[in-house]
Amino acid sequence: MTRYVGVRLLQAIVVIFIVVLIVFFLLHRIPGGPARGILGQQATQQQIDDFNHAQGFDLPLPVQFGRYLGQMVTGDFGDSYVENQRVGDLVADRLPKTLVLTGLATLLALLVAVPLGVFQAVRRGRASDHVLSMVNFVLYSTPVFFLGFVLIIVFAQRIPLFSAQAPQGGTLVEILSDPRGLALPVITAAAGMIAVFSRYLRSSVIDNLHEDFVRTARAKGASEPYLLRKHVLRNSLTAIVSMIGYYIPVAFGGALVVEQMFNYPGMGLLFWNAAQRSDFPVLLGVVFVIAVATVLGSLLADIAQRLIDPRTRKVTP
Amino acid sequence: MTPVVEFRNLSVRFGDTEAVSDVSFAVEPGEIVAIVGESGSGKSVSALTTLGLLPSTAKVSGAVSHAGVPITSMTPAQLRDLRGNGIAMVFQEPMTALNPLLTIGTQVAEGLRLHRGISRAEAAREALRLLELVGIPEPERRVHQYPHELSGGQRQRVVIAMAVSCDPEVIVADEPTTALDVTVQAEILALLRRLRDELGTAIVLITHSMGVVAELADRVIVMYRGEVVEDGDVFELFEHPRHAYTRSLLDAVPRFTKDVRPGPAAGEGPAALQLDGVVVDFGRFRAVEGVTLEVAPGEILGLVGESGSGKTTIGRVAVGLVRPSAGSVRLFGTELNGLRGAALRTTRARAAMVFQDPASSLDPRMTVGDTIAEPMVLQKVGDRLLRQRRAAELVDAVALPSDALSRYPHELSGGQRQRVSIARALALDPGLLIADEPTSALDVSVQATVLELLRSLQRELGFSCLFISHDLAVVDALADRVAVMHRGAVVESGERTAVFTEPRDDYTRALLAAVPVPDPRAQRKR
Repeated sequence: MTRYVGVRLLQAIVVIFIVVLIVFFLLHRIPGGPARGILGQQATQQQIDDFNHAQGFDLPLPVQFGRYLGQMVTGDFGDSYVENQRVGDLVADRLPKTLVLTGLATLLALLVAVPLGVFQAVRRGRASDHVLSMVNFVLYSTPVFFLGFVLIIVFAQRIPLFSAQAPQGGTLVEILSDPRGLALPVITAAAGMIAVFSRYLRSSVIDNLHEDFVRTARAKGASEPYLLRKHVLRNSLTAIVSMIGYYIPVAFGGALVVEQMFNYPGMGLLFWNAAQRSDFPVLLGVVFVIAVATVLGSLLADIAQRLIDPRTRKVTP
Repeated sequence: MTPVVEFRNLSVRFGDTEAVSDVSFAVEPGEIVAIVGESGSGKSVSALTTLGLLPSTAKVSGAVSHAGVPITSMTPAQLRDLRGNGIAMVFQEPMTALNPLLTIGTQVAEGLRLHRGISRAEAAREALRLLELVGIPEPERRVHQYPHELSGGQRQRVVIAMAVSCDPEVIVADEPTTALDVTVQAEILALLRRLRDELGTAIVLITHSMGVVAELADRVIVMYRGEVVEDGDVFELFEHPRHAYTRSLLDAVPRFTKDVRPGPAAGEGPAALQLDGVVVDFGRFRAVEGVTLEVAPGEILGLVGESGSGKTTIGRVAVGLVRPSAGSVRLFGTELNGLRGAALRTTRARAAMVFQDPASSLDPRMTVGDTIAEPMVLQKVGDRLLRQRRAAELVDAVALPSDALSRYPHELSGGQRQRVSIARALALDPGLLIADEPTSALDVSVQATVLELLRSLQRELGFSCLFISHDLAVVDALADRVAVMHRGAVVESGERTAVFTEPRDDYTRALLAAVPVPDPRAQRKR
C-alpha cells in the first residue's frame, strides 16, 4: 500500500507539472498580455514596455517559466496584478470556502441520490421509476445558471424562504452560521450531482441485484431489505466512491458558476474575476490548486476503493 | 415416509414457451436424485421452483411440495423460512456465488444468523465447524479471508458449507461441478456423497454430465424439452435405457476407446508447429515453464490440462499473440520470435484459431457471411465476389444452411455459432488450426456433431491441429497424439492410446482416475 501510494504521488507530481506547464504557456500566448488588461486602453507603449520589463515579461518564455517554477516550489505563487495581495494568501482565504460549498453540495447530493437510486432500482420499470428518471434528466440537462435563477425566483422572491445572496462573511464560521444564505448555492451545486449519482447508483444496484451472490443469499432465506442493505448497497457504493473522486474537477467547474451567481466569496469567484482582468498569477495559482485537488481526489478515491474492496488488496493465498 | 420434495404435474410457462410441462416425481429422504438433460430441457427451471426463486414472469401450474407443504402457494415469509432451512441450494459458479466484500466466515454463518438468530460469537464458532466439515484446510485462517483468496474448488466447498449450515432435508445442487477441473470435481462429488451419508441430506443434482450422474446418483430423471422422458434406478438406466432420447444422450458421451484409428497421413515439409524450450512469464508469474512440443503436418495433437496449466497460453504463443520470454516458436519452419508487423501477420495467417465461447467470439453486429469473409478482407485476399463465393463454400463445408450467410449470431444456436467460428478459421485455408476448448460450451449431443465435423474436415483438408481441452474423453475421440500439461510444463506426451492406457506420469494417472466415466458400476468400484 505504501509503495502504491508512493508511485501514485510521483505520477501526481508529473501530472501537475504538465498541467501548470500547459496553462502557463497558454496564458502567455493571449494577445495583448496582462499589461493591456491592467494598464487599460489609455496606456502608452512606453508604459506597457516598462510594465513588461518590471514583471520580467520581456524575457524568453522558458526562462519565465523556470522562474515561476522556482518560486512555486518555495510556495510563492507571486502577487496578484490587480489586488494588492499575494496569490497564496488569496487562495488560502478562498479555498476553504469553496471546499465548504462543494463539500456540503456533495453531502446533500449523496443523501438524496443514494436512497433515490436504490428506490428506483427496486422499482425499475414501474411508473415511479419512469417519473423519477424524467425528473433526473430534467435536472441533469438544466444549465446550472438557469436552475440557479429559477431557485432564486421561486425560493427567494416568491416564497422568501432563503436568501438570494450567499453568506458574505470573511470566516468559515460566519458562512456556516448563515444557512438561509447557504441553502440555494448548495442546492444549485448539488442538483447536477444528484442526477448523475442517482442514475449511476440505480444501474449499479440493478446490476448487483442480478449478481449470483445475491441469488445465493436469497436462496439462504434473506429478505429483500436485508439483501439490499447487506449485499447490494456495499457493492454498489464502491462505484460511487471512485466517481466522487473523479467528480472533483466537475464540482469546481460548477462552483465557478454558482459562486459567481450567488456572489459567494470562494475560489470560483476569485477565478472568474481574475479571468476578467487578465490577472495571470491568480489564474495560475487557482489552476494549480484545482490540478492538485483533481489528482488528489482520484488518488483518495482509489485508496478508498482499495480499503472497501478486498479484491484490490494484496492476496494472501 | 413423506417425500422431502414432490413434484406433482408441475408446468412452468414463460410467455408462449413452456419450459417445464407436467413434471411429476418425488425425492425420498437421504436419496440422491439426478436430473439430467441438455440446455433448455427445463432442469434448472425445475430446480429453481423448489425454492420459489423463479422470476415473476413465470406462470406455474401444478405443485411442488416440501415435506407435504406446497411450495408453490407459500407466502414470501414462508418461502424465506424454507430457503436455506428446509431446502438449500448449491449453484454452478463458485467464482460468482459468493459476495466479494464479505468474509468467508460471515457468509457461511449468514444462513444460521438469519434462521436461528444466533449471536455473532456463536456464528463464528459454527462457521469454523462447517468449514471443517466440508474439508477446507486451515479453517481458522479461511474464515477471515475473502472469496478471491480461495481457489474455485475451495469456494465450492464454502458454498456447500453454507448449504448444509441449517441442516436442510434437501440440497438442490445445480451443476455444482461444471465450472471445476476434473480432479476438483471428483473431490466435490465425494464430499457431497459423504455429507449425504453423514447427515442424511437428500440431494437433487442437476447436471448435463452422464459421468457425474454415474458417480453420484441413486436415481436418475431424464428431461427433454421440459418433459420427464425417463425415471429410474441409476444402474438400470445406464444398462437398459428405455427411452430413445436417453440412449442418444448416452451414445453422445465421448468415452475412452482402445480402438486404433488410422494414423495421420504422413505430411511433408517442416512441422506445422514446433515449440522449443518455451517459457512465458506474466509479471512475476511463470505461466509456461520450458515447453517443447511439435505438431507434425496433418496431425492432431491434443493438449490436455486443468485450469492454470498453461495450455491456453501455449495456444496463444503458437500464433504470436503472446511472446515467450525464452525459447523458440516455429510455424511451418519460420521462427516467430523477432518477426514484427507485416511479416508476422503473413506468417500468423497460416494458423487459425477457434475459441471456446462462440457467443462472445463472434461480433454480434456482423452477419455470418461477413464474419467468415473477414480474415480474407484483413489479408487482402481476392475481391468481394470471390470472398462471397468462398464464404458460401465454407458455410456449406461446416454443414450450415446456405441462408445462414445473411443471419446474425443471435439467430443461431450454440452449435451453429461454433460452426461459424470453424468456417471463419478455415477461410484462409490454414495449415494449422488451433482449437481452444471448442466444444466445452456445448451440450453433449451438439459437442458430438461438432467433433465429428472437425474430424471430417481435417481428413478432407489435411490441416494440422492443436486441440486444447480439459476434457480427456473429447481429446481421446479426436487426437492422434496427446501432450499433458501440469503447472506450466508438459509432464507427458506420446501416442494417444499409449498415454491414455499406460500413463507413465503420476499426474496423468490422477487426471485419468478423476474423469467421471458414464458407467455407474465402474464408478462405484473406484
